[in-house]
Amino acid sequence: MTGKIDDEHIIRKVLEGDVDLFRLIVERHQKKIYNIGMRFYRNPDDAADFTQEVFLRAYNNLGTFKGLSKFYFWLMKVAYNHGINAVKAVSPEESTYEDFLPDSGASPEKAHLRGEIAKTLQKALRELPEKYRLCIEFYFFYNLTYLEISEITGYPVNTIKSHVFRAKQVLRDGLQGTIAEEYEDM
Amino acid sequence: MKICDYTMRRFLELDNRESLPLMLRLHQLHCARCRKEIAALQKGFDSLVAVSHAPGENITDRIMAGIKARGVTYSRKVPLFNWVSVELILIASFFMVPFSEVTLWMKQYFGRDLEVPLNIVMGALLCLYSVIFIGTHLDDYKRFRKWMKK
Repeated sequence: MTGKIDDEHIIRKVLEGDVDLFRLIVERHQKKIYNIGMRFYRNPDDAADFTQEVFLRAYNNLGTFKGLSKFYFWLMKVAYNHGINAVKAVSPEESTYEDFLPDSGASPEKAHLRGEIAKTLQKALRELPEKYRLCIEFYFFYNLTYLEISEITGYPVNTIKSHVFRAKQVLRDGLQGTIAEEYEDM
Repeated sequence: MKICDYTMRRFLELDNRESLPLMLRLHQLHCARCRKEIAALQKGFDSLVAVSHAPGENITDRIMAGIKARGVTYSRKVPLFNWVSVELILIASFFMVPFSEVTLWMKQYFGRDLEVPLNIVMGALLCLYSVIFIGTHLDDYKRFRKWMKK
């Protein structure tokens, strides 16, 4: 029997003293946490440190995990809070998304269009407070659903929905007549 | 025109991993404008999904070493209430077993010879349990003693 053991079961075992099982959790989720680290720092070394710190914090606070939601969301929440606080402490500089977007194997035209979309999205996000910006990033960059974002950030689903809707509208307006047509041909 | 606006609105309201309702998909089939705009926007949104980075080095060992270095450990915890309840049940049975039907019946055969070994066994059990209880709750025991001294 080689069925995948769920995270919650592993956490129960860790809390009963089987610390080494936490390795499975680290192996399963390190990539996602590292990617969030890349979003906050855009630097592989800092993102790796961020990943380590998030897992250490998660481990130290395992006792507070009540199992009401999935462990993955709880871990994302730890990463989110740590990232928000760390970035606040380091520098208040504004996010830019161009370097955060996929570029591997993209033609110069595609890369240019993606850059345009990123700029439009950034314009849309500028109107929002930082706490809501991350909701939109979770939605667009991490492909999370409204409910998942709500689980992580604690904001009501409708608030997230309305901000994402507004961002999509700004994107739509920004792309209309220019890039939209070009995209159709890509 | 009205249905086009509604279609676009519904499209923008869509959640990730959710598809447009069937009626609106049918509308797209004969409305080139909506079809084109939705396709273009969808491509635009899809292109935003972040490229997945992977940590360059193996950070699992580093993280596990960090966890062990911090020395935070967890262990199975039986609630204090359970410990105390079992202790009370043991004490209660210590006093009640001599009056049970079985003991009284056995006494008819063995007479007073039964009482001493029975009390020794019961007393040993109670002591053993108390030793384990205190041994696993030394911190609580110290706090309890301090509280008693006050």
